[in-house]
Amino acid sequence: MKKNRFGFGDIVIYGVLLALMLVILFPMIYIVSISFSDTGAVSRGEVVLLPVEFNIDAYKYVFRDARFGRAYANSIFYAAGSTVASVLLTGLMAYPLSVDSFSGRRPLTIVLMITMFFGGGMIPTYMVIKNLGLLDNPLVMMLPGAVSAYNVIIYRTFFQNIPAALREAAYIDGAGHFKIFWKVIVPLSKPLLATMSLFAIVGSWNSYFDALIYLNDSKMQPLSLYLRQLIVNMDMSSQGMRDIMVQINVNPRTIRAATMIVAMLPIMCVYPFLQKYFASGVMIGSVKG
Amino acid sequence: MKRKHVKAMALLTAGAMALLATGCGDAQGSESAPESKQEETGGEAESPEEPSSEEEGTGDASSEAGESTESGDDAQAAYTFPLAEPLEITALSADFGRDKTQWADEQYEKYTNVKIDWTLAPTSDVWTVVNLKLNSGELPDMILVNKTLVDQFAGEGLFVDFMDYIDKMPNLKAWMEKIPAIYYDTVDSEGHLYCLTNFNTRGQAPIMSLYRKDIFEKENIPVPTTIDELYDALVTLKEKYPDSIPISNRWGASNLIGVVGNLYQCTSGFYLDADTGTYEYGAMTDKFKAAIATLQKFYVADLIDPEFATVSDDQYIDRVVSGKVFFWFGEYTGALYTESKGDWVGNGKKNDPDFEIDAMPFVETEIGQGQSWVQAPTGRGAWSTAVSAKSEHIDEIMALIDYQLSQEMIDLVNWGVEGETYEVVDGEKKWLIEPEERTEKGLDARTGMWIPIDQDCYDASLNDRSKQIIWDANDRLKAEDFGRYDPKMAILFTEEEQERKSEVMTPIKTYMEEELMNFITGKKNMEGDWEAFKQQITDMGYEEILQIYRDKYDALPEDQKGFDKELGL
Amino acid sequence: MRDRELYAMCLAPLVMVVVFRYLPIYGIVMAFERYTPSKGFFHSEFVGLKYFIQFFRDPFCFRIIKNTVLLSLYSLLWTFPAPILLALLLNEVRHARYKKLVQTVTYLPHFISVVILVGLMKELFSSVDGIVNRLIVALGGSAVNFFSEPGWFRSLYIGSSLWQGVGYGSIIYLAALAGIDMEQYEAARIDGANRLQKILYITLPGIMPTTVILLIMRMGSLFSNDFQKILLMYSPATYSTADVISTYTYRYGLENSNYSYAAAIGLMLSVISFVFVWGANAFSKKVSENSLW
Repeated sequence: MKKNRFGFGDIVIYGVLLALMLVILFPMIYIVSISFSDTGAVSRGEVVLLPVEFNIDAYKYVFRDARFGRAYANSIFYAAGSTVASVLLTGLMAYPLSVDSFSGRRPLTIVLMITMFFGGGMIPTYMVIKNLGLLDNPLVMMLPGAVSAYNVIIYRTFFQNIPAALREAAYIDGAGHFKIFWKVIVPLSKPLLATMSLFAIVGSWNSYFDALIYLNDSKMQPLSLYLRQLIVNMDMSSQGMRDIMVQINVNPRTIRAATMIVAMLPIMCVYPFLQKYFASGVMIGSVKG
Repeated sequence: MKRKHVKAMALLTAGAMALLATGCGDAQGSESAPESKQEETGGEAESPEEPSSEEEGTGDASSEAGESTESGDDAQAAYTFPLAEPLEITALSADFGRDKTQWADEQYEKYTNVKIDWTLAPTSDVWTVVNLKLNSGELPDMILVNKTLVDQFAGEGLFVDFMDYIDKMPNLKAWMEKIPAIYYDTVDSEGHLYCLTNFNTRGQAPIMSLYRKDIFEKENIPVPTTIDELYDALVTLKEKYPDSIPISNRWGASNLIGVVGNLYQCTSGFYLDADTGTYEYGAMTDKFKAAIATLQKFYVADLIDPEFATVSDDQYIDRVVSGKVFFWFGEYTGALYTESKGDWVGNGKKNDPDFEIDAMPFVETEIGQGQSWVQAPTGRGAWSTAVSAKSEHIDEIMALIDYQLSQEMIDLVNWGVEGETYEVVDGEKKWLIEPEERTEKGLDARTGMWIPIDQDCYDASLNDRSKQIIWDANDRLKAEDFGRYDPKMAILFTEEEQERKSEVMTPIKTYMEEELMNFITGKKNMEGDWEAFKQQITDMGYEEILQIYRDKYDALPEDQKGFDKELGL
Repeated sequence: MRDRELYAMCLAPLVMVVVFRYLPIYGIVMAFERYTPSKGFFHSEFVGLKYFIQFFRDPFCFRIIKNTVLLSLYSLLWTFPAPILLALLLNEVRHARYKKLVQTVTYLPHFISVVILVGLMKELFSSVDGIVNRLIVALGGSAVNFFSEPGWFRSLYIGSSLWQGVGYGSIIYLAALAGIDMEQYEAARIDGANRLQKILYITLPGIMPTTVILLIMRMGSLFSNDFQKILLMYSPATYSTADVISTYTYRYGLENSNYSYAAAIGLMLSVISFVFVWGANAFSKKVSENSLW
């Protein structure tokens, strides 16, 4: 692969990607700078790209509360749990649907697809969860969303893409479906599993609504909900009066920015670990033999 | 938010928020604690200190009515605090940005011996949660509600009627006498009071017209007294400062239309008209047409921000402090001068040492003196507390709520402990701690269902200049009565009527909002196109809804008609 | 019957689906009744198609449907291919570090909250002091009031989605690309295929199943937009292009808190979306081997 010289096409590609990065980076840097700037300087419009009167007041505000650490820990726990549940259950659902000969393939797919469009709405769902005794239970943050039709279809599509010969070879060797799933499909689907884990982590990390309605106990709150309280309250003050803002002595813009960055950091840390799986190809051929 | 008569949306929001900002007291903490309590305990037979009604209201400050044990006639508190036996109750409220685990909350528990197991929802989402709880019938002992929800659910016997307990709630009774709106805001047609609105110890300053004092003085322009003088002044300024945006606006077009509407004594929606004595639909009135014509005139002359309908709050503040804005038809004054870094004048001065904003009387228009939106001392039922009828501790909770309305507890939850967090100098309370520490202690976030907010405490975060502006405005309001007040009773719709109203008014409002943009920006002209505009709204059937308003208003008892002027300023 | 093993395998996930998705589905009846909590789902007053009729009789019905569909359609046209293109470009990058850097950077904006995003856009595109307009003026143009021009709304909406989502969206295609057998490229190289040929004959077919499936499912969202974002971006001045079903229903709800009307519209859109996906799937089945079921 590396034998071609760095040609004109490469220059164009590298250039385009560089431009894209710049377009994305400038606003991002601006947001980071705001979060580290003096509130007064921000409202005077002095922050152009770099922080002005560098300080960490906004971060102090975000971190000030004992709830913060707890919420952080909760979020990690929920993200881990829901990612495991999601990847495992979705995989188990998707594999049978990828087997051509499976008699339940079509009906089960349709059963799943229906849930993509139709639901009972908030109140009936709440009642079900409540009757299951899942209110204020960490499982409520992991299970209800674990199997989504959308993800099942994506998994299935990837599984189908794995040469059937591999599966059949194992099949003929007398392996059961469970074994094939574990020994053949899962190892070959690492890029997919890494990607979908990432999506699950990000989804869990950002979601607040389930926590809002299913978790009454503030000790169980995830970070997303905690941060939402900070941001949205700031919004409200700005809609009506600046007085709340005046009292807490920080410009909402700096807090909004800081909040976003605090929320983003852990996900950024996870990214490189998963990235290596989908950034490099899988040598299917080598498994083949 | 539940105001039934329609005012410019943003103003409405603004008004309600303002109340919210100040209207949701925290009652935790307690102050000169256990001792005063014991006194009270012994005292039980609340010395009735003549809580005479009306005068006190308008008369001076909160301290009177709130004075812990003053009671209406024979009302007696049923419990004394701290309770002999510890009590644990559950409550659901908006969090207003903090957890209930701070210093102030510990004080509160110490003082009352009541432990509250909170469910705190983010303020923005709290109604989703409340709705869900009500719909699933899973109520905590105390729950944040609003008037609409209560009307919807009260028939199911979910809530305790405060009026059943009023004789055991001396403090509440006293407050109701001082601020009748506490009663009128949420009472239903049969005299039940299923929830208790949030309120402040007194009304807040009206929204005021502001101008850039330094610029006007520098250019030798006298403070305008009429809309035409204002126009000329701003035209002159715009010529001298071509980069300026003499008038900007935030919170959308409806906000600007709202404040200018006030100058013309009307709003864009349904409102109780002082002249006709009944409900009107703003867009149909001549006053409103005049207001829009004025906006058009200003806009076409480049005096109004071309982005007035879309600027964000952030952009707005930028424009103000960078000195581009010279005049405000109506604006809150809280952010002008404050102790904090976020204030307008302080930051403005960093760009321009002369920067100065001041309040001015409303300009006169073709139809007379302009009016100002007045912020009533109550939350108008938009943020209220209800007690579950299924609770096992109703008596105690009612007593607790009443206790919160005592001066002692008001001080505690607003100011903290005397000598520790505040001091009293010449009868005026002063903070001993910095704003940051207030936040830390939980004395700042006006959380949840604790009422009332001490308006003095709120004002204490402003600097002397701001306070002066607000007090002047209040004095003028009393003397000149330029306020636009809320109707005493909100018009309530049945569920079917509400549905009908949505069906009819949503398209009308959509049409109207769009057309008003066309008129203001000069794409349509006031002479030729306004009649067609009115005709279209008539064709779309606004009259049906107006009639409902009028019928309902006519059906009110005489004492509930008219405006609520009990601001207790 | 080896099927039994397969059924056993998907038993647990199926139970989840039934419990969390199908048990509450009775809530759909809300669309046909005037829901009153005290009477519950099964005893509230039945109103039949009242809310559906109400929706279609609304004078703005046609406009909001049109706006909804056009906005989604244009979004689809831009935001669907863009991540694929990015993934293809990334696939051509030979320096692993550069590739990772680009990936990481483009992935970041996904985490910007919509409040911050719209705030940022309003500053950048301000007609008074925005950078974009300064540029336009410097180049001899005249300032555009982007946020008040109905004609710009969709571009701003879609452009920002693109900016925010292209990197994140490309990840799934990168995963698909990773599944392509490297030996194929090797073989192609030996055969003397150039870069374009390799893309056309190996890479694209390699990600085709994923692409088609995602596209079919995307058909189901032709009636949904980012409601929060529109709410922050629009104003009466831009209603004519920006007012969509969800924002209109939202304003409807400001007047009364009845769940039923919103439920009825939601149900109607679900049915239409379902039909669209069904159709797209049938079409795909005919012309390719890819289908949802």
